[in-house]
Amino acid sequence: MISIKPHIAVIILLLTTNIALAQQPLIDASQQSRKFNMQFDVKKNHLSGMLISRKMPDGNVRLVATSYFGMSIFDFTLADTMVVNQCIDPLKRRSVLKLIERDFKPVFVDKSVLKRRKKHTNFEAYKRGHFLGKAKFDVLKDELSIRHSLLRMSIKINEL
Amino acid sequence: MHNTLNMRNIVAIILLLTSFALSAQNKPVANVDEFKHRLANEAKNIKSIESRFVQNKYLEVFDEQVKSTGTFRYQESDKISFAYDKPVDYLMVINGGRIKIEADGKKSTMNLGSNQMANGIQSMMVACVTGQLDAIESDYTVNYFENDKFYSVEIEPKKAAIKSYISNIKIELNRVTMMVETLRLTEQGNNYTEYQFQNPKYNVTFGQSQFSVE
Repeated sequence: MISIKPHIAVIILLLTTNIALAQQPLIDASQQSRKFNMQFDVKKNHLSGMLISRKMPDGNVRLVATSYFGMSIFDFTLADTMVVNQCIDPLKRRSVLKLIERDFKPVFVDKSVLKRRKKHTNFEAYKRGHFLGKAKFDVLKDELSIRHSLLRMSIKINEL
Repeated sequence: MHNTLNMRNIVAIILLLTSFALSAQNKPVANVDEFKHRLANEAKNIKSIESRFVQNKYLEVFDEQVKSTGTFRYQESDKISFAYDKPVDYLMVINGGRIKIEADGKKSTMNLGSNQMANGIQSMMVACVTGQLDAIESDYTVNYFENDKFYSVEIEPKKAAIKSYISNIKIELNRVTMMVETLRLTEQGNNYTEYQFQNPKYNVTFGQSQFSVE
């Protein structure tokens, strides 16, 4: 009689490994805060601030952004969906929040939604979406940028 | 006899500790007019200030403080500059009705009239630096406290536009010099940003471009 237990074990191991690989972000959040200089450029407008990421005890990633003067910009939880804990009024639009969620989730939670375009020793390029939702993700050694060419918008993050 | 001495020692220690606790507590300023008069008097000879500052941003969600440093400058009557050097170079200048921010090699300017919060912060800071607290009492509820070392001015915005961002402002002034040593902006919730001003220099001559908002 053939024992099925080893086969089940192999299947579970494969599933677990695939899930672990699929959940890899572009930037690992750790249980210690990681601090980044964040630049938002929308057309001619520029906003700089500090972005702080941390993996919380429940496994979700918390993102907090403040201006350098100290005023809070936003506080999001990246879970299955993005939870808006706090946000300044100019960002409180469904389309804007959706865009931020679609940009930050591959960066901090799961990059599997991205398609890799290029890979070199110190550089990786990814893309996602079409038309107005199209975004390019460039990952250099010290910097990550997200570009929405049609929207004339870009986000740049580099660790402090 | 031995028990009496021990009891006396215990009572003495309790009294001593209590007096320390009371002296550290804030109590309402006994004579607010006298305080305002003294503040205005000390401030009237100050045309400019240059001071290092340490900024601590407290984030409740992480129970963590994020530290920044820089140089604060003020020139009468309404010019303010915060030049950060850590963790990044970042400059914010408020001059008259305009605000300029320089960061990442880029510059952006806007009219304060369209930014109620920046407007409110400018008027509040200028009032504290110049001692003209009466100037803000129409837009803020102001209460005055004191302890052995500091006068403490607690300010609550009345305007909803500012209140939605800042719930409370607390300023500590050195009792001897009447100069602002600490400024704390508390947001809705328990996040706050605290600025500690150090090594102030007064009546410094600044270059013409120091407060440029072009």
